[in-house]
Amino acid sequence: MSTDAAHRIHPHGGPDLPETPPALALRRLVKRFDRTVAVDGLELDVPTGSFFGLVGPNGAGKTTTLSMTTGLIRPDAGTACVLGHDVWDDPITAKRLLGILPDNLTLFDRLTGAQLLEYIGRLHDLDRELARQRARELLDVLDLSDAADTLVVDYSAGMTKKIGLACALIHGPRILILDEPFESVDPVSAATIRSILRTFAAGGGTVVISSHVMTLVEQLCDHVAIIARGRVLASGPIDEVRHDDSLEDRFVRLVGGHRELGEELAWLRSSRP
Amino acid sequence: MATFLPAITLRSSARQGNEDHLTEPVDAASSWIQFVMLVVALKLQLLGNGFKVSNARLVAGLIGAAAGFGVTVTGVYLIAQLRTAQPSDTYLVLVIGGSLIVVGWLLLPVLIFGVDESIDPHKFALLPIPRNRLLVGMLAAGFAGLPAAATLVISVSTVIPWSRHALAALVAFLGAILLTMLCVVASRMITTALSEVLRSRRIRDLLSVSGLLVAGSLVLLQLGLPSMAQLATREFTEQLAGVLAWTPLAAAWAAPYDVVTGAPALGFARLAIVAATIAVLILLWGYALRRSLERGAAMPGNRIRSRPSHTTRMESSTNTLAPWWARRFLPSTVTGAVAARVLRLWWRDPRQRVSLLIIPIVLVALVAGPSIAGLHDDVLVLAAPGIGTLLGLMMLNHTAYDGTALWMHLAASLPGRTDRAGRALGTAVWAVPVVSIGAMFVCLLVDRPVLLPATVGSSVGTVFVGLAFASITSVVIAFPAAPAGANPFVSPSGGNVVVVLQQFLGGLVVGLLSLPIYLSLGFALWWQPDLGWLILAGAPAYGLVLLRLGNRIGGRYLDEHGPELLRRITPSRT
Repeated sequence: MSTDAAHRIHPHGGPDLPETPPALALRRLVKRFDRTVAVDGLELDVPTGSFFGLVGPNGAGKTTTLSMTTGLIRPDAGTACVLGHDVWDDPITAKRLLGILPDNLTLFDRLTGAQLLEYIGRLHDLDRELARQRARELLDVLDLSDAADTLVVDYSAGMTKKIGLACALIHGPRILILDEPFESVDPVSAATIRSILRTFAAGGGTVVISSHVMTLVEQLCDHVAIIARGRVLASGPIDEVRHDDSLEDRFVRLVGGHRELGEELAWLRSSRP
Repeated sequence: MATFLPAITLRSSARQGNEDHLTEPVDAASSWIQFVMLVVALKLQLLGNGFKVSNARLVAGLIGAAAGFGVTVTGVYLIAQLRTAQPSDTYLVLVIGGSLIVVGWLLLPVLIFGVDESIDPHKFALLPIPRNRLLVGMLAAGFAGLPAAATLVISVSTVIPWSRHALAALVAFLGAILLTMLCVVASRMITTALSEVLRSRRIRDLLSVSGLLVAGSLVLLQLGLPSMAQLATREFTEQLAGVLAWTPLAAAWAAPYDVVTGAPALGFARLAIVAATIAVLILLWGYALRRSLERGAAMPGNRIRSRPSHTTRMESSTNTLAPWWARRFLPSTVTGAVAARVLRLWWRDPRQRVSLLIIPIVLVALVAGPSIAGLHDDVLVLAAPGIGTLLGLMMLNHTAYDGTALWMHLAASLPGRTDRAGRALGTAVWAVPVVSIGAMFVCLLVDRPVLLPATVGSSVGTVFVGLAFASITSVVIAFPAAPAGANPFVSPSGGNVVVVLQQFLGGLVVGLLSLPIYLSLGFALWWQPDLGWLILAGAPAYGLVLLRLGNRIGGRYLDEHGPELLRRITPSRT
């Protein structure tokens, strides 16, 4: 409705946070695809140094929001700022601060793991030797050293996630934006990834992850936002958002749509010979 | 969304199947027919939904349908003209032409990867459907489509030339039905059998390369055409037809002629050959289908765990981004990194490897062939710059080969000009030496070493012009490319006509831009060989100026429309 006229509201940070701008400040983001509104005037602040979880049902606009924040999808209206730098006005500064792992987008998968990491490092203007050295370290930590000379296209889904995470890390970003980072990752690798992310956050970095798995978000994140139908339903420190409930119950109550099964599907219960 | 509709159809079909099973054994025939109708309806719905995805696809589909309609009408018209011909002539034409149609059906799944596998048997694997019924359903779905309809109409139209003889017309009609079945069954069987082979990425890569190479080397056949035309005497054609008429390729086409010449038994024997072939193919297909279903659906990409670790020497060569030989040419800048990746891909990406391998084939076909045949025409030196232009044409949609991985360039906020320059450099690193050597080879072959500087200069020039143009087109008119690692048999259908149009227009513009180079080479060739040295310097300089301009325009476009480009080259979900 009013979203069309709403661009340029808080160009930088806003008056309420005079000192350090938040890691991410999303203001009135709007995105339509054909006739469906994927993101509908979304507002979100991600405090610097937080471990931020983004949860929402399928089609809530999580991926679209993250894509608009990282410069992969241009918003129809609204602004997205990274530490005070607008991603769409000053992309070079803003994107240098970001490390991104999108879901559902391929990597340059005809390169070997080591080559891919060297490539991404050099795209970020790292020196050739430095890029190679960091690539070796990342492959080692993520337990991919054996697969360093294998084409990424031949990696399993979990390995692909890990090499994608390595690509997001190689230039030393200050903010990590990870879309479904734990999907199809085996428990051992998931533990490795978790400890990497915790280390990153402990060092002052900001981590934003989206996930369907509430327990994972509760376990990892200190802040959370619940998104549905392209809007933020609740956002803040995780204890404030969930009150005394579990996050999952709070989520289901906020999002709605869950129904207890009454007399429907009666045929499902009758067992046939 | 539109794409979900088929799933709903699928589910309802399953439930219906279930109820048939569970309530009571209803009339078996009617439940068979019901299932077949459902599968055919599903196929038609999938076709229809495919058009809903985008207007471009709708237009492409309409053009394709119009072309199919045109071919069918022309075919029927030509066959109808045979009415007034001698029966023996009709026989020859139908046997030879008809065999080509059947061969086309056999080769289609092998050569062109756009074969429609929308009714994938694996999608039925979890449903309680007896395999025989699935087989019949898939066969019926195979008939529901333009190619089968066109084949049926054309083959039934052979009733017209034989219409003066009632029995012959009847045999022609039966033959037409059998022939269409044969075509559909054979192509289905080949598709299913090959999808088995295509599980591993390596084999898929290999096949996509070899398939396209076969298609490319058909160019070579052109050379043989004159000699083949001499061979094709009436006598030879009759012998060939005599053999073909006993194979399933043409037996159905030949049968009516036997009836006309007073040997109806022979005609029915030929029909029996076709029928028996269909039966054997169905058995084989059923077998292949069973094997394929029992092994489970093909997974995207075969999981190969890492190969045994390499020695340190090997590691240093495969582990670095740039190949060892190119390391000294490529700067260690960001542009150099992009160039190194592009260079790697020319061999690693099967789509580009095909382009690479086609170059020597074309060179041999255009130059070496005629030379060996004794044609020492100076004009052949024009083939050398032709390679440069060809290369430019191959790269018209180069950016889309990255697919959605292009996001990594956007995420690193890579400047558009760096992206463009890196891509051009990565190709030029191998293309410039290769065309230079090719140009020298051509000059020596036609025995005009005087033309060497002009030919080398103009060839390098056309490479630059091609790269310059590709720099712009591959972002401005980009369209989704078939993914390199995808099972070629499940590639998205439609859109091909638009692609061909873009390629055609692109080729026209590249040709126009290269025209000054060709003209000056012609000038040197026929008039002033001394101009050669000027061309050696001038043509690459001209190309470089265009390349700079192209990189600037393409780069600016990329900077401004990066996210939109990413969306445009993302293959639509089907």
